[in-house]
Amino acid sequence: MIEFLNVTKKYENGISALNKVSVKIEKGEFVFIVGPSGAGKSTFIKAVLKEIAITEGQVIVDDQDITKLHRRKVPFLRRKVGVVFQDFRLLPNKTVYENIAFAMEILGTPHRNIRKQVPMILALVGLTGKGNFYPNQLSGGEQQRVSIARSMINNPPILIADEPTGNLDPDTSWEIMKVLRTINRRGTTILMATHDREIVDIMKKRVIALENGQIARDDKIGVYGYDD
Amino acid sequence: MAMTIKPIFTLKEALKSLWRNRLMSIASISSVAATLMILGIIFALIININSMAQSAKDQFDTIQAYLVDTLPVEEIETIMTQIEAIEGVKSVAYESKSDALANMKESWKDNAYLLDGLEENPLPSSVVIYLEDIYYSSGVLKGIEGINGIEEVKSYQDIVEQLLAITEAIRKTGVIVIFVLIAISTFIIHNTIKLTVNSRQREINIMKYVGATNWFIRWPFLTEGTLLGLVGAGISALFMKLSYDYVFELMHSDFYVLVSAYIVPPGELMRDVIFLFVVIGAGIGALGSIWSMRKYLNV
Repeated sequence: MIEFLNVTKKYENGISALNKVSVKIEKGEFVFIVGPSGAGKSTFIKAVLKEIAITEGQVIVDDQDITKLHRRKVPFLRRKVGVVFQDFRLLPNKTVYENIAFAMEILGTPHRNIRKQVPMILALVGLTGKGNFYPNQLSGGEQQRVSIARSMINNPPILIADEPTGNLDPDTSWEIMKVLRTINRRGTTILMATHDREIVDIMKKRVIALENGQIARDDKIGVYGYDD
Repeated sequence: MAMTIKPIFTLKEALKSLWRNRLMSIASISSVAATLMILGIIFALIININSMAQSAKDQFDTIQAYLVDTLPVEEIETIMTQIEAIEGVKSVAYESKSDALANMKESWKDNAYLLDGLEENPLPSSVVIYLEDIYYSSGVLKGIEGINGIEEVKSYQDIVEQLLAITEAIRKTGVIVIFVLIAISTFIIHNTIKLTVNSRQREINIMKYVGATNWFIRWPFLTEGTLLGLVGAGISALFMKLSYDYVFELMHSDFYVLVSAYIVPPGELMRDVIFLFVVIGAGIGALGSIWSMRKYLNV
């Protein structure tokens, strides 16, 4: 699903955020990416989203080599990769329903389909009946679920979650993880960057640890492994 | 890929956003309108001066050589053959005293009755010289100088040369002034649209992550900018129409009868002006808005 072949990224200030990274993530996997700040987690995610151009190597997403993907084609890559951020990134002046519908409107989905699918995705993330609320009327956990719903509404094969529980208390974090697990069981490949030791240790999923731009560990059933 | 662009929805959103930033919107519209008004005035000037120069040129194809009164027929014939021999002369024609009077009556039209009171015809007879090209005019004039029996020569060379020089000057300064003004208006629109883009930066960022194409994102801003340009064009077109009609009427009042014949009528001119305004107004608006979005789209 996602493959890195000898990927190197050197920023203009001379720092190499990734150094000859090779890794393969199969369809349907749930992978944690851990590591200290500045180890290259963000760069790894940005490379999958084609937010940055890598210096060397090759990145393949969903059987497509995106290393030299033309700028005009990037939107079509993004439609295959849903993204969830630590800060939710919802539009404050739109309701929950509108925030999600917005992602479908962009693809030109007919309103008939939007009206049918938004309630379905809301049920999946456990927000049935909250469609007419505004983001500021929801708790942090609920907002993150809206954000997950938005990223999943167009059914992308891959979901990237960048510190999705970073702003949430432990109980709420677990609710979010349950939602992600459900999505993963439906067949979506999930790539989650995190600093949350407890979650990583309990979930018992594959863990890729990045340090100084290189893969330090890659365990099928891994642990967080840092003292925070 | 299917893409729903909903014109009415987009237009409504654009109007809402323009209203929210109404001060900047007014500034943008005024700047486009001012640019186009100046452009329109220069355009009208150029068109009119061109038309004047053109009619002057047509008249200048001829030189009129007035003859000394009471010249015998043979001598007139000699003069005519002499003139015809000069290089660049296409043909010559004799205009008698009575011909001259008849021509004058015709050109005076409604006021011709004033000439009826004349006891004696004061106009001289003349030889009308048709030139092959304006280019030969000075040579022909020189050639005529040596011929006896010619009292006076009338040509329009000076006027035409001056007119051509003025047209050229107006055209050149006009183009420079217009370019500077277009650049300024584009810049002002760019700033206006940037306000909206800034306030919707978050939205644009999210749109990029959900996989919206650049054109999908650009579209509403482009509509806003184009709308600003078109409103500016409308205002300046109205201004041009009213003022040109006014000037045209003024020129047609009795005092300026001689000038008015050369003024291009409003109908023809306004068609061109409105077309020009709409194209340039929309162009400035579209350019300004696309420019203001550039850096936000590279996510």
